[in-house]
Amino acid sequence: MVSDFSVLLPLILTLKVALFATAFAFAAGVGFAYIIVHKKIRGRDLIDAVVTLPLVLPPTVLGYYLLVVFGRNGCLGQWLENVFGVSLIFTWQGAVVASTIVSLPLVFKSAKASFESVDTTLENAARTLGHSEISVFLKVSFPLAWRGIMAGVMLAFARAMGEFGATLMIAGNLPGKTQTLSVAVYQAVQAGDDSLANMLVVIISCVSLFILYTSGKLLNGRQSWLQK
Amino acid sequence: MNLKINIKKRMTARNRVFDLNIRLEADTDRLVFFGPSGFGKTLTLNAIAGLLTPDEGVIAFNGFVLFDSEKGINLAAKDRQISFVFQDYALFPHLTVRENMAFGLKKRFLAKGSGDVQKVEGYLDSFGLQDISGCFPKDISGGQAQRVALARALIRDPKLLLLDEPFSALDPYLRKKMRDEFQAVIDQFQLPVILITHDYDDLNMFADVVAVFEEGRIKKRITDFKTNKAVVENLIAEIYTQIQTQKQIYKDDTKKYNYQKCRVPGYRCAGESA
Repeated sequence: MVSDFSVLLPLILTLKVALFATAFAFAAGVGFAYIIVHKKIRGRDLIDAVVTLPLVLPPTVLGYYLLVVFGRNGCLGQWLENVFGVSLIFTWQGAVVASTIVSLPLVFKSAKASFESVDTTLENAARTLGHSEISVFLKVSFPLAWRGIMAGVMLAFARAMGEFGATLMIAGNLPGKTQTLSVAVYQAVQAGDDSLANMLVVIISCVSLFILYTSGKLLNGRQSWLQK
Repeated sequence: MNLKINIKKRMTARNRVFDLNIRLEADTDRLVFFGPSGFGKTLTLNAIAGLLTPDEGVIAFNGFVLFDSEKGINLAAKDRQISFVFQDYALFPHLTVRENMAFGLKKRFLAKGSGDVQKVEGYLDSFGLQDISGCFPKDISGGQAQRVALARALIRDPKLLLLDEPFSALDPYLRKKMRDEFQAVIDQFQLPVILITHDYDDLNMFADVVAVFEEGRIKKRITDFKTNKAVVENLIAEIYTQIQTQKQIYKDDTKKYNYQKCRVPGYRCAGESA
């Protein structure tokens, strides 16, 4: 018999992790993309490659890196332990870090392409009309790139919801604490609990489909100035 | 206005190098940059507006230094109080005509009920844009777009107005109409203007001082255009003959190259008999 909690807890945790991860990936991805497109800094190509790397690396490799960095002996891990007395290992916050890293390239790539497609004359026009660089970003570049960025954010959210490998390595599989839907599916299958696995699979599919469908619809409705 | 420019800028794109080397001093409210495309007129205008940073030199407007490489002065575009009407107008596609016009006004967040709203309404009325004030740029005509761009530039009370081929995107009839409108507006505002064109009609209507461009530098500066029309006409004829000759040489070279390519054994040009 499938208990309510064995479905509900992973679902809530998954949504929580995916929301936080998407928010962080959004901020970092848009920031990196804007800097790479607009600032003539050295090593732009290197930053581009490093930020895109999680897209091609196996999630287990990323998980291993995260363990090395955030583990008890890792440089950031030690610092967090000493200064704040916290550790990310086997916590849902650790799962957020894993999902953020994995979904970052999806926001970054689409934001970069979107910023590149914004006509620089429009940005220059805003400058000659007395707007500072921040204002140009907020009132011209970002609104014009918004559609492409949101497409990337939706993908990032879907990716964060399905994150498995890196999450398992850094956050583990603690039911009610770090067990997300994808990890729960894996455990249910391993334990031969087919009815639970079926239910979890249907739920994660439906929730993902619902989110992608509604956000896509909302996004299309917003851009009346684009429609011919 | 008094404008002093003495700037150098090297532009490189792959294996092409373009050297901009502009020296110009003008004491007029009606300055025209004239010359064919690709000779550095727009780059110079961008440098004046603060959108392009020269490698070295000085730009001063009415005794006020906008750029001085030696003293490390480079006033940001937003602080220069110079308005720019771009060639394709650069209206913000995500904002309505009214929002486009209000974009350059200060206190944008507190604009409701303040003097700014009245100012925008006043400009909408005087430029005949009230009917389309709620439209997005994609829904208005070329002539209307130009009026919006001009109104948006003027509403800020700039000290100088720059225009990059403002009439080139319009059809000939509308061009004449907009030129007359523009003339009336400029007379009304009493504003110093620098205009880029390669249309002789623009010169005729507008110019006082003309700077004729040639490959990144100013070939000649003609003060008092109205009495020196013949000089300008000769210059223009000279430049365009040069361009034609260059094009001809390029064409001949291309032909020769194609011809040589055809000599590869086994290949024939289309239409060439075996």
